Formats: sequence, C-alpha cells, structure tokens
Amino acid sequence: MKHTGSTLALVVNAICLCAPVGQAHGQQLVSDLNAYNIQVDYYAPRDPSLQPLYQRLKNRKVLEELGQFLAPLKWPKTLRLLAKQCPDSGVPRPEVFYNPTEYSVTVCYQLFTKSLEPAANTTQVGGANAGFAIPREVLVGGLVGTVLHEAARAAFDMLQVPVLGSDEDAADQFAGLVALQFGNDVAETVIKGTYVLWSQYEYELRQNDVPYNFASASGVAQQRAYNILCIAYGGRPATFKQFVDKGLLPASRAGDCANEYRQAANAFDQTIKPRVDSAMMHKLLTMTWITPDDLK
Amino acid sequence: MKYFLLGAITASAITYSIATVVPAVAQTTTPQPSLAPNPQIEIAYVKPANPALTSIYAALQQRKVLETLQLFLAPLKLPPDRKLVVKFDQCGGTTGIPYKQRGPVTICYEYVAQIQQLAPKTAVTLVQGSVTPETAIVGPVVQAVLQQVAIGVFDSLSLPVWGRVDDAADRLSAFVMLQFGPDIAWNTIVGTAWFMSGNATAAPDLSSVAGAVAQRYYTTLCIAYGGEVRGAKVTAAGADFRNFVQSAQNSAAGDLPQSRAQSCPDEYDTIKQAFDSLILPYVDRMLLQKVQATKWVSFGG
Repeated sequence: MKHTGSTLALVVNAICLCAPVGQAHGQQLVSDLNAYNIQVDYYAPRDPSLQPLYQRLKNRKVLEELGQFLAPLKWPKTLRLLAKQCPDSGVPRPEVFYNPTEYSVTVCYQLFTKSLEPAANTTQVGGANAGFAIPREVLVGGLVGTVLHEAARAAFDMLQVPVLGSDEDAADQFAGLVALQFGNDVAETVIKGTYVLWSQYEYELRQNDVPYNFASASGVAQQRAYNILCIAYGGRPATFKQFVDKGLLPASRAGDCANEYRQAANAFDQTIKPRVDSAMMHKLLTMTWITPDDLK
Repeated sequence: MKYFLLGAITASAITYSIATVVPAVAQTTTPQPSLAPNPQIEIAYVKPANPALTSIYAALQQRKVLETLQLFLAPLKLPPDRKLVVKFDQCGGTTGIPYKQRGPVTICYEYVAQIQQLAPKTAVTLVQGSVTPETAIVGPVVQAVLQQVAIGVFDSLSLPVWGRVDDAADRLSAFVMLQFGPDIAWNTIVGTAWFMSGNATAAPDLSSVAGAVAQRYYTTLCIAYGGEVRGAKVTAAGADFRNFVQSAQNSAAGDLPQSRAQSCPDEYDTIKQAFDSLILPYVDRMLLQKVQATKWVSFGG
C-alpha cells in the first residue's frame, strides 16, 4: 500500500513530537550507546515512498532513543538496533524481529506503514478503539512494546536465560513488565499501544477469514492482546482496572493476573535483574519520559 | 491435526477402560531395590462421590500409579521444609483444577475419564505409526501427571518461570517423556497427541492462560521432533517423529507445519537448557541414572 508523504510525516511526527523517548525532556541517560554494547544503524530504503520516513527516523534518532531504554542491561555482546526496509513477504507481524545470528533487532520501515498506522487509525472517531487510546499512544507505545519484545528475545539469547515456556510468551511478559516499572504515563502508553496493535492484527485476520494458526510458536494475536492486558492489570490493578471494566479483559482471566504478574516479576528478578546496572536503571525510571501533554 | 482426527473417526472410539489396559502403568519391571519412594512426595487417591468415577479410582489405585510416581521422583530433592502432595480426585465435573501456591497437585478423575473416552478400542494404524489402546490411555495419563507435577515443582523450588506456566509444564513433561528410550518416548508422545487432537474440537477460550488444546498438541509434537533432530534416542523402526512434519516430498507426513518444525530443535534446546540449569541442581544424579535405567512402562502390542 502506497503512503503519501503527508501520511508518513504524520506517523513520524507523532513519534517525534511526543517526548523524545530517549531524551526525556532534555535529559539523556547515556551519551554513547556503543560504550554499553548497543549499536544503531539506519539503512536507506529501496522504495522511494519510504525515504521520508527513513530520513525523519534517522534525523530524529529514534533508534538511539529506544537504545536508551536498553542501556541499563549489561549486554555481553553488541546488540545492533537496525532500521531498514524489509522484504514484502516472509516478515513477521508486527514487522520487528530479532536475529540471533547477528544479535540484531530490526525495525522494518513497514512496521510504521503496515502495522502502527492502521492500528493508530482505529483510535480515531468512529474507530474500534476510539476513546480507549489516542493515535500517538499507539504509535509510540506500539513501537516501544514491539522493540521491547524483541529486545527480550535478544536478552534471553545473549544472557542464556533459562526459559521454561515459550520464548514468545516470555518476551511479551518481559515487555509488559518493563513498561510497568515506569510511571503511569509510560506504562499506559506502552500497554495500550501494544494492545491496540494486537487487536488490529486480530481484526485484519478475521476480516480476511484467516484461520487461527495454533501451530505457531507464538500465541495468536488475540491471546497476546489478553496477555498484555493481564500483565498490566496484575501489576497495576488501580490503573488498569479500566480494561476489566470495559470488558476487554474477562473476569475469568483477570482474577489470576496478579499471580501472573508475580510469576513474571519473579522470573525477571532471578534471571535478568542480576545483569542490570541498578543505578542506571533507577535513573532511567525516575526520568520523565512521556507526559500527557506530549501525547496531545 | 488431520491425521489424528482421521484415525479417531475410523477407529471405534468406544470407551476403553483403563482397568483393561495391559500392561498398565505400574505393571512394570520391578524397579531396582535402591530406589525408594521420595518421602517429600505425598500421594492420595481421594474416593470420588460420583459412582461413575469409581472404576477409574479403583483402577488407578490398583495400578499404583502414584506409588510409581513416588519412585520415579526419587531423585528429586525439594528444599527440606517442602513436601509436594499429589492426588487423584473428583473435580466437580471439570477436568482440571488450577494449581494454587503450595499445592496440592490434583489430577482429576474426570480428565482420566475423558482420556478413556477418546481411546480407540483397537489399534489404529496411522501413516506415522500405530496408536494402541494402551498408548492412547497410558500416554496422556503419564503426561497429565508429569505436567501437573511440573507445576508443583516450579512452585516448590521457587523457579523462575518465563512464559505461561501451563505451557512450560507441557514442554517439560514432553522433554521428560523423551528421556527414557524410544518405546516410552513414542507411546507417551503419540498417545498424548492422540488425546489432544481428539479433545480439540470445541472452540478455544483465547482469554484463558492455559492456551488452546490445539496449541498443546503442536507443542508436544514439536518438542518430540526437535528432540529427535537433536539426537535424543526417541525413535525406532516404524516410529519416527519426523513423519509428523508436513512435507511436499513425503505424502505420508503429518501436519506439523514446516514453519513451526524449523524452530523445534531450538525449542527442544531451550527446554533442555532450562531443565539443566533450573531443575538438575535439585536432582540426585546417581538416582537419576537408576531411574533412567528402569523400564517404567511396557507397551505391549
């Protein structure tokens, strides 16, 4: 699907005009990501219609900003954060993936055009998610949530973390858990954005009559939507009770979400926290990253 | 799951009683004398109030299923202040009771009844191998016990569990079933898959943390196939987990899609690594060798 330059500008501006995720209102956690084993690269797209997006992401240092979130983890090898145009087929949805051979997390430009933008549109007046989230929450939150998911897979791999369950489920838990360590503004943005992304994907599958792929190593989109809501509600019930009240998270699941959150938090404490620079993490959590004004 | 469903339709899926399965779980070669019941594993067969479940209760007791489990778990060393209670019980019409912190582990008679109901009356020959009545009953009963005990062990050892607990327990139980030679591997895995494929007819509740039965089916086969690729001794003549992988070249192949199959060796590695790093430290290696050398179940023809 071709996108007009103005549409892409809206997408990138929404990300850019919100609080610089990594610069947090003028602050910066680390000045040189390479010193923390994080390397960033932007690859020019072949498709001319993606050029403006590429340029804006690069000029605005979006990957560098995402890297700030990941800096407190003591990466034993260099984690590459890449932005590039991916092939039209054979790429997972959402269009972000971890490559264990290269230790890289790739953000496809198509993530913005094929996933984030359509999902954000559902929050417009009359859309399926109108009143639940605003477009910028979906654009920013969805981006951060999906990158955190793939970063989790990178962490599990590089740190040789023992994972008893599915690493896809585990990565979803990790992303939700990390988001919940921040204040409500960041937490709500990431949780809502990720949820809407999965809801939109589920909607597309139903519209196209695509049967559920239960053979997949990851859960189906609807399951993943429920999983992120459950982690959120379990970790911060007062803030996310809205999901239960709105019927988005069934009571039959909600009842045990606190236990699910505790389970994930215990796993994080035992397997990831020892590999985190706690002073840096504390600083990261106390910085102001996203405010409601940024998302207006 | 088309091949298992085809088998379920063509075979007479008339109730096949666990009481008539020969040899049953506990009718085994006598375990070596140095294996003693794990004193930290307490067991119980709770008499059901529902008379329809009485025969199952009696058969499980007669077969000493839980006593065998105590011997099987002899190598497991829980923290000194912990015991794990494992029981068969009536569950009020449901087939599963969620595990609560500190237990007990409960396997429902209703679940065993469901297994019986879906077992074929006579052996069913599939393109991948055969499914006998024993396989179709003993396999999923073994899997259910191991899966529920795994959840209890996660809690007892306060293990870090990434992912959904039920799924983690499924993966661990599949991994364990692969560690006792081709006969046990084939029959327990295929029996479990048979039951799950027959049990996956209702629309799943996608909001449930347990996941869909169909997902459990594919994960079980995936771990088995992945183990085979990684060199686990899990196959014998006429019983090859590679035949469960979809293949354009092999029309006899089953329905584990290539898109999933390619990740299965890594998924096996993942659960093996997790077992080695999280559980093995709590296992007495000498007793483990004895357990692995014991023929726990013999699947007759």
